[in-house]
Amino acid sequence: MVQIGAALRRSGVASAMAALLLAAPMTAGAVERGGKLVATSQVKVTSMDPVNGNAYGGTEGVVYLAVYERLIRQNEAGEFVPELAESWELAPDGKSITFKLREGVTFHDGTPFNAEAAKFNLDRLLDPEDATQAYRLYPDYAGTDVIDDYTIRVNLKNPSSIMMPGLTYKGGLMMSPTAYQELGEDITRHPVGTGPFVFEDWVPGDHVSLKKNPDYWQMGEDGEPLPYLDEIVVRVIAKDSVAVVELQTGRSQLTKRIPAESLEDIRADPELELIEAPSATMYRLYLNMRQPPFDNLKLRQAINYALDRQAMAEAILPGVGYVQPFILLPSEPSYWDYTPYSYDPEKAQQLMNEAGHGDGLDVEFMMINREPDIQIAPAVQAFLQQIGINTEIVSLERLIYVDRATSGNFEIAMAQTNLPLPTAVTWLQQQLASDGPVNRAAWNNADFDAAVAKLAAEMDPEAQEQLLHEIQQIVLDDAGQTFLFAAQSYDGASARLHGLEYQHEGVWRLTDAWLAD
Amino acid sequence: MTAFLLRRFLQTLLVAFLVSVLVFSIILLIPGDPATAMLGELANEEDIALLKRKLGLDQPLYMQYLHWIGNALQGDLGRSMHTRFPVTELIARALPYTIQLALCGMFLAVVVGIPAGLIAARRHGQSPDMVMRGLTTIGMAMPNFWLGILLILIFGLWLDWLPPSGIVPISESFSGWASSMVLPAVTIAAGFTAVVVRQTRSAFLEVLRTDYIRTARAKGLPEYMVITPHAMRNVLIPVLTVVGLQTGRLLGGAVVTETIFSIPGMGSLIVEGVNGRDFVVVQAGIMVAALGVLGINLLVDVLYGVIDPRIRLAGRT
Repeated sequence: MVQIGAALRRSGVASAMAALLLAAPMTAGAVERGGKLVATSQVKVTSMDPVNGNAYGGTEGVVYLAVYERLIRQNEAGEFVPELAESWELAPDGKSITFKLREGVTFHDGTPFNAEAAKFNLDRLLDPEDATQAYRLYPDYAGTDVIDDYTIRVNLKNPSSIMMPGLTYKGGLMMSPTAYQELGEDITRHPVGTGPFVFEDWVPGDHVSLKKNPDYWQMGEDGEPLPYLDEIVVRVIAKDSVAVVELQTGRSQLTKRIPAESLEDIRADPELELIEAPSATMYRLYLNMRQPPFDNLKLRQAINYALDRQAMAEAILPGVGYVQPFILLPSEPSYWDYTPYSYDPEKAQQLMNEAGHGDGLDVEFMMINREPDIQIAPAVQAFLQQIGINTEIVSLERLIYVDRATSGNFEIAMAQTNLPLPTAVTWLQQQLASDGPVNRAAWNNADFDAAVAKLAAEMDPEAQEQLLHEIQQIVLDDAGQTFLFAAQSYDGASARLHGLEYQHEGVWRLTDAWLAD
Repeated sequence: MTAFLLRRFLQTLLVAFLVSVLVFSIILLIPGDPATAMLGELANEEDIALLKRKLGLDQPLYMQYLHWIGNALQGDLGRSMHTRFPVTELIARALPYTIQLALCGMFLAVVVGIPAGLIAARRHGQSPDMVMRGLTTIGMAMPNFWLGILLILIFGLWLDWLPPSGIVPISESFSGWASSMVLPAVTIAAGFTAVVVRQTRSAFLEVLRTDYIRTARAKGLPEYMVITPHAMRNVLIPVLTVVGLQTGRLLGGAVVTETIFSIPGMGSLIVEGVNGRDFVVVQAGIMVAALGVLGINLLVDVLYGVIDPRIRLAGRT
């Protein structure tokens, strides 16, 4: 099995972005060229235009990172390293970053990559109508100036800890401006980038096929241009058990999210590798604070004390479930094991009495009808029952749930989040700030708002970590959100596959991947 | 015959129109809209409004419908709200797979079901009949998704004879297509075959008791002559009815089967459309499916006449 060490190093708020090199376990040796990699995932691609897709962490991100490139990316140590930019410099006032761009790179349609192209791409983020699925992630971006053919200055509204990591995320991917103009709305189904693979075909809901870019600029270990692979097919297989069979029979070489019941089979198979991916899914609860009863802190705390998180994690997701108190993975440098809550039904009962609900309470518990939520909800229900909270579980289709969550029409709602987050700050701003667009539970805490605003503008890693800890304490003490437990993600790969690299949200980067014979 | 066909054609058009209105209303009645679907779980009111404006969903519903039907009548079925693929292209890609799957399923059901039904009827009350009755009960009771997974495990994983999922286009490789079609076709055919066996068996038993069969036997005709030309025609009528009626169910089964075997057919297309409230895709998809079912039923009606001249005559009066 592949073990990921504490590979995430300090990179300030950017720490949340994992960029781990997985080449190590597979014996190093001369790279081999050629071959077709078949990778599978359960999530379908929604758009080939990165700023209009909503499933980056699924199949989409893999395709994006094969076809498009960014100015910078994050390496194994979490440091920013050049991709389409050769170097960069932060202005002393922190309000702009100047990038020197790589020369001699062309898009797949022959358009040269230069300052104008970079400006065109980044400036899309200023237009919500255009970059609908990405503009919110770049609140500090103020536009780009072209200094010369290969130099740009990215302007910021204020010093920002979000922008650099943001540039390694979907809004930082560069597409051909010519293609954008010529293809019109077809740009959502025909990506043209500068990356190691050229788009070939997309059958929605089924697969995306990519071919090697013969004119790629980056050199491989053998002194020849990358990539090593000739072809990539990313297949969408809705049933995870079927995807596992495809992997076991050698018809695919890489599979996202091995279901818990198949972990042992994959681990035991000498031809396969079980990869402990640097990512996880966090399960959590929104307690609606717009109205009683959950506007009462004591009641929220009672719920937090009433839940035996360890027992739930072990029983519901054996082998993958574990408890973490907040949105940071244990492998992240800013991780802190602080939590005010242990499993303490007596204390919970006492808080119920203090909250004025000593004789019980009836509430509705809304969830999306999916795995493993349908198993988690009854467990939560049982724990809450013990302190006199009777929950009626309402299991809904996803969009009906989102509709109700958006309008704040619920009492308790369950949610999932994929970790690590592109930037912890952005998530906190959106989910928990009093004016956050996705502040489902309507939590309102002035100390939190102030701390997050400070974090967004803080550039010093040490100070960032301090602030993150302060924020964690505020959120948990005030029970602004109730975190349950997390599930470690495992991917499966053929033992022949080498050079796989992970990016944030557990997305594969296949630029350096190769298949041994 | 021409008048009959014309009448049926006009009926089909009317049904198609009603289906389109119905689909549109249903999709709009259920909560959620394409904009919310596209934004996913991070949807918020501001972005939903923004995206609705971008997609033209901020117009009144009747305007959206009129706009859609106006374009549809000119042959432009619109583009998927999500992927921006032209719907005609999506259907042109998906439909062949579903037709192939349905035809293969139907073929298996008829080729296996009718002889099996005949055997069961001929050996009425004996062990072949008992075995067949057991098998058909299992066939009808076994859910598609379960049978599919079972077949994948046995033939895909353990025996490693057939591809566990996916489909190879017939234009790319016939043998590849055939081997990738076996498991889905068997999955979709299982319940269908069971129905055909039972129908054939009971129809045949009934026919064998009729006077004209007794006469044929009395005339000393060999048994194969009694069965094939004499009994068969009358057996086929109820069987054909069942086949016609089952087509709609077959398309329903295609949804489940396509999902299990990762076949990008109409079932997957429509289900994804519904999940994303992509009414442009759902409209067109359901419409095509409805027309397909209507077409098959029309064909069945015509075949009645071919098999049994009495039906043709009745139609004329």
